[in-house]
Amino acid sequence: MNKYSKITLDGLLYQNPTFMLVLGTCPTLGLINTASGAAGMGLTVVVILTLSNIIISALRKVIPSQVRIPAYIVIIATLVTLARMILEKLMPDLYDTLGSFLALIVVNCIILGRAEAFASKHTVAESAVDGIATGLGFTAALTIMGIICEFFGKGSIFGLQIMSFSMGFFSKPAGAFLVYGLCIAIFVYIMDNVERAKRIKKSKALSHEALVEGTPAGAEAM
Amino acid sequence: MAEEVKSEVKEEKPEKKNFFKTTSFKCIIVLLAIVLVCGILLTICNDLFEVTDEEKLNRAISKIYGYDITVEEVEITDSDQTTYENTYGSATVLLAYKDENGDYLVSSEGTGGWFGTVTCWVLVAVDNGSVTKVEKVVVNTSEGETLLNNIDFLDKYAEIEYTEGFTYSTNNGFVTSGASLSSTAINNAVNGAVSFVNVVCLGKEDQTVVEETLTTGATYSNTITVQAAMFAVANYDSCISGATVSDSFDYTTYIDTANTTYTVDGETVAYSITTTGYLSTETMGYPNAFTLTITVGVDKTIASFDIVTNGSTSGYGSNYASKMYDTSKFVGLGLEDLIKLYGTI
Repeated sequence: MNKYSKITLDGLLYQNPTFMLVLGTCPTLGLINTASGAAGMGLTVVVILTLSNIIISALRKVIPSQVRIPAYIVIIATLVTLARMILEKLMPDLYDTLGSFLALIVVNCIILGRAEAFASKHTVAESAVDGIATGLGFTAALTIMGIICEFFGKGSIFGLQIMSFSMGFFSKPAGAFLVYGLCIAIFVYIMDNVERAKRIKKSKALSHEALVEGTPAGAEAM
Repeated sequence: MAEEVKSEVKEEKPEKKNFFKTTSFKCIIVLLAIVLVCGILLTICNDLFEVTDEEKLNRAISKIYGYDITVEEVEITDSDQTTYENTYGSATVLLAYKDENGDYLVSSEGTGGWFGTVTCWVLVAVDNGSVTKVEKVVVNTSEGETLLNNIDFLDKYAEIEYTEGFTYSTNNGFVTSGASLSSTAINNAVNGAVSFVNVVCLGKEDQTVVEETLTTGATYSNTITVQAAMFAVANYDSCISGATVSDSFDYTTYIDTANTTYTVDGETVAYSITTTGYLSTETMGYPNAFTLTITVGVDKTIASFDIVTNGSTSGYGSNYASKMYDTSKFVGLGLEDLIKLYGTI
């Protein structure tokens, strides 16, 4: 697997910021009562995260480590302010939906965390891929939970009424918390099983190789 | 001595030069450069992506209509602004627009809410020079009304065809129980908008009709005092014949008959009525006992009605006794009128 594939899979699955790292909880819980709001927030984060990763990676050799955090925050805050201006002008409905959570992207742990943990240590291309993958992982997680909460809470998906029965609990923060917890549990369970299957497959492959070569796998280690 | 001074001066100069090569200086320069670039970028983009007030207004209007529409502003003079007043408040028209269909979109601020005013956008439909209905009401802002989320009658305005003189009020169904004051403010705003369109835009005479109603926001106080008035009128004959006040009298549900007395002066009965509280025990939000003096004349109508002790809940008491309700409105009412009035609570 090449490095870009690994970065992509890490961002989408193995280090999914919502389900695995549990970052960005504030906008997650605030916006998953509708699928469209969740998707809108996710896509906004993709753009900001990618651009911030690119810029910070490009300036990583220029910014002294002593002032890296304030520098990152200024860059991220500028990008978020630009995003607000553009959304307010060109997409007012999305701007209204995101509300105060749009400004809170500045202090979103995902963006500052990826800047510090990845962008400051990798090339521009790698950081861009990481930004896109992590952002898409966040978007997918939020959208899935938004669909669940909107379906059970309002009987609709992306505003399209599917059924008349609804449970208001899922439109409230408590319901969002419950859905979030259950999704984390299911996701971690699936990923654990995938990891286990990969390990089993790998050990079987190693044993088979050893048999073919005529040496037991244990003897090689010794 | 001079050599020592010279060497000190020589040592200072290299330190100053070294400062510009230190990390601290580099940190300052890098941060300043980032801030400068970001500031310039934001300044340029602020001009490029500025949303003007006109754009914001057009968006708000489109949201109210549900589609894009062209509107033309209607000029409002100071004298046009307050065109509606009633017992419980008034309305001030802030903005008005005429759309391409000939209807009017009015921003109207109604008083009478719990904390003050409620501002609403009111879409008034006009056909053949007359108001036909209130198409839509959208609450815009308020001065802190906490129960606006409970308001559930806004769709009702569009269900009723407007007729000349009709007044939207809590008495004809435009009310949410428990948020009657907020409901009053919204109704005042709507009536203000309709009155503005009639008088200013269509040149008609003011068609406002002030309805006689009980105090809004003091439901249980209304219940007790109207019952007391009904008691006074219904038992006139018994009192004239000298009967002792007892539970066998009519309308004694909220009357403390042990502490209620009357005197007869010719053909006038003057009661000193002590009521009970709305509930059997003192409970926050429900009124306690009132003491009232009511006189009933030979025509079996209320001649006078005064509150001696106001049992209304703190906060509501001022609403009931003085700010919101004039007890002289009971004067002249007979039993049938009181029963009708009781039905409006």
